[in-house]
Amino acid sequence: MLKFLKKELILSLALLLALTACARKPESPLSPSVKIGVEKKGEDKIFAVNFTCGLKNENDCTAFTNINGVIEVKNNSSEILLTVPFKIPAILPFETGIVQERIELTADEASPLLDLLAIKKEQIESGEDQGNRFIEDRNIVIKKLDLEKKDIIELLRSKLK
Amino acid sequence: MKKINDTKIYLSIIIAPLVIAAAIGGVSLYSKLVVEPKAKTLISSETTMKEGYLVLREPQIFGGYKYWDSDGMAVKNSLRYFDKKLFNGGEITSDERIYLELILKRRISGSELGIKSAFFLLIVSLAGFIAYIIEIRKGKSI
Repeated sequence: MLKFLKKELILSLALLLALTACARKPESPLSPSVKIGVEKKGEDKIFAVNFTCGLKNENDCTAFTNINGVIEVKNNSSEILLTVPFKIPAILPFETGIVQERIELTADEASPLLDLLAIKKEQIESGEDQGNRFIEDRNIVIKKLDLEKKDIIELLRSKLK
Repeated sequence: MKKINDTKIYLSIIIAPLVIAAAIGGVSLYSKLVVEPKAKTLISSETTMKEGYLVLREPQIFGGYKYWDSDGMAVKNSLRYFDKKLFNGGEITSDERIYLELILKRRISGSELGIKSAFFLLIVSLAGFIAYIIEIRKGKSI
């Protein structure tokens, strides 16, 4: 019986260690949205896409630092319409890091994105449509997410020195 | 009919809760006797408040900070506030002591729950011990 208990205890401890070692990374962007406007760049017209979303750190004791990632916006056929590289210095526990990036697209590059978001070029150019749209969850994905996980106590202690 | 020997079952009822009670009780008593008085002393002075917060930032096993109960929400907001403040090099003022006390209260509740749980497990273990003695006596009388 003691042998049986020993095995159970080892398994429980291993499970506990595995659970505490694995801090949860953000799985999807929160409230992703874009504001698309037309601007003049020299002779050409460009479409300036201001992308915004949140990345939540749901861990209670793990902070994320040096966050470096790529978010992709895809249409319903999984074709990539917009690639957003981003960097965030830190997301503390229970906090939401904000991704705010400006991407410039040519008229040809912007066209499929405008179709997905049901935006008409003419209405943006005339100012009739402000170009603000939320992106549906099925059309957005975190393609890459590199980050450093740090224990919050160690991180704060390093700031006190 | 052959008498079934239940002593192995009773032994497991004695040992398993006893081991868990020792682990939970030990951690909770350590928190009550060492960590909580230390944190209380540190947060009582403005010069050591930051150090006190770091002591409290490590959650007690039964007073985790990720749970979504009503008290947990207030503690979570306090942690978010102080984490951000210390990360950006800010100071904790005496006006904010009330929020540190809120976190300390969470820790105290956690350790009390741990001690009560350990006590309950000890009773289970004791019940198993009594049943074990009865079983042995029955075995001898047959």
